[in-house]
Amino acid sequence: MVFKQKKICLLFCAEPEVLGQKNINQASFTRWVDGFLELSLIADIKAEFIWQGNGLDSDWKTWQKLAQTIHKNSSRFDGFVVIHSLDNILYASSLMSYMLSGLKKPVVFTCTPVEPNIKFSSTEGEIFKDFSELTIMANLINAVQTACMDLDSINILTGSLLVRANMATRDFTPSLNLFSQFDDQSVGQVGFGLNIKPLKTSNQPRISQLSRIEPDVQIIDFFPGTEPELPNLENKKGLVIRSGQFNAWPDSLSNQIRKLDIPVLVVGLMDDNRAKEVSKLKNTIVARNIIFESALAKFVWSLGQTNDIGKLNKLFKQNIAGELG
Amino acid sequence: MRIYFYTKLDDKQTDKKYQQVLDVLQGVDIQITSNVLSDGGIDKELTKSFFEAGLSVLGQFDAFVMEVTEVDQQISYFLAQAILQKKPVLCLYQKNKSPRSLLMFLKQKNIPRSIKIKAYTDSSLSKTVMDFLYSIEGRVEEIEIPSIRFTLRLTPQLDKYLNFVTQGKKITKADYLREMLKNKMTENSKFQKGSK
Repeated sequence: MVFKQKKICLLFCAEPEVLGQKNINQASFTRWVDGFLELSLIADIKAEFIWQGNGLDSDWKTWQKLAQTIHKNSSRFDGFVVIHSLDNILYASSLMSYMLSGLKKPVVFTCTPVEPNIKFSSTEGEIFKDFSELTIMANLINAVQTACMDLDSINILTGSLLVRANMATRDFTPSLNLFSQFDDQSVGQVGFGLNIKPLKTSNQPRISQLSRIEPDVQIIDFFPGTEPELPNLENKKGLVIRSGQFNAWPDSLSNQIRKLDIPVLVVGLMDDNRAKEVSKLKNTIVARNIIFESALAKFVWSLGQTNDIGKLNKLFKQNIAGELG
Repeated sequence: MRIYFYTKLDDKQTDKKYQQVLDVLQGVDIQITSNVLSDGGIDKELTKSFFEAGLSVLGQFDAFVMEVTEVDQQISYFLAQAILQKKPVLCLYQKNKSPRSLLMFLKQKNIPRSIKIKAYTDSSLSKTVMDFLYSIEGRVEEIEIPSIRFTLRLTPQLDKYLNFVTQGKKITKADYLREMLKNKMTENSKFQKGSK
């Protein structure tokens, strides 16, 4: 092209069916990307295979590899696009926002809403196949165009909406906009081109070394009217309690927490008084005004930096990557 | 027919030329949306419905016309969208100022035939654009300026009716009659066959 094309790294971390294939490796992913004519118009793309499998099976280890690959190649590329499975894209992209805060480059996650394992009749299957390809291809064109822009945050693009990864929630309205932001804002919209709102630049210093994470945490859900019993946490480095939008908090749970020697994160929408009361418990941090996926990712990332509860509390109050708005 | 016209705006050379392309497009009975129009010519309701469905708003257009003498990131993006959505595209560049890389790219075997790239001069521009529009819809009506004077005498009853049907509408009696005649003309297959 006459204009100087941006260099974009396209990473694969999803089910192979997302690209209409049964198996993906570095060679086949490179071939698929090289054959995607439309993408080569927008940017100079390099394909990087990270992982393939059922979306639910991608885990912290996979995402560490993803972060390492992005970090290692940060000086070679102007931006990064990640094709990720829909199932846990919120955890993956939130974690990237903490691990790569200070990257100073755009990282855009995208996915397809079509479940590859759904069984259709042969006619429906044909329609489904076209739909699947069209969706991921349309999303990819928009994601690559976004990665060519002057952004320094980790975002998710599906359909016409670009949202901040660590503030995103799944939107189940019948639309190809699969995610919205919990504060009802968005980073940008795909209109006649991409309209991106000015973003607060991350105040994190440029990263020289990739931060560690500590994913060995236990997660439990707590419901009102129940007496939760904590599992054996002998080898765990942290505990996450997900409570809902309620104030109930049984004394028995407080008593069990008092006996623990590991940091405890309580995520829920309790009121101020209850939050104060719970946060007074030994080793306990209360996280409100943050979505669960983002809070968990922040906890895993924070535990990689320190296990000192005072420092952890301080990190949770800090707006590390725009997760607090 | 709905057409999206795009040109890079920050280059003065191109700026002078895009008006010619726009003039040709505006002389035809089509709807134009463009980054060079002050209001964009955007159908806000339709655009909103595309946006809410998560679909590309570019899907609402039948074709794209682009002035590509200067290629930018946005032109590449629109071309990518057009190829994906299988929309016809006319890329125009000023003769002797060919965007070589884009030309090379569009000459590849796997580029759909619906993507055209043409050089133009002041004298060839109109024909190039019209040929493209004809190729999409077969028949595009040029907007004719009513230049033939015709005096018409009406009965008081017909005049009363004309006043009645045009009252409250932003239309003159002459426009109403012209529109009525135009519709009759379009519906008359015998005339249509003879006029080709």
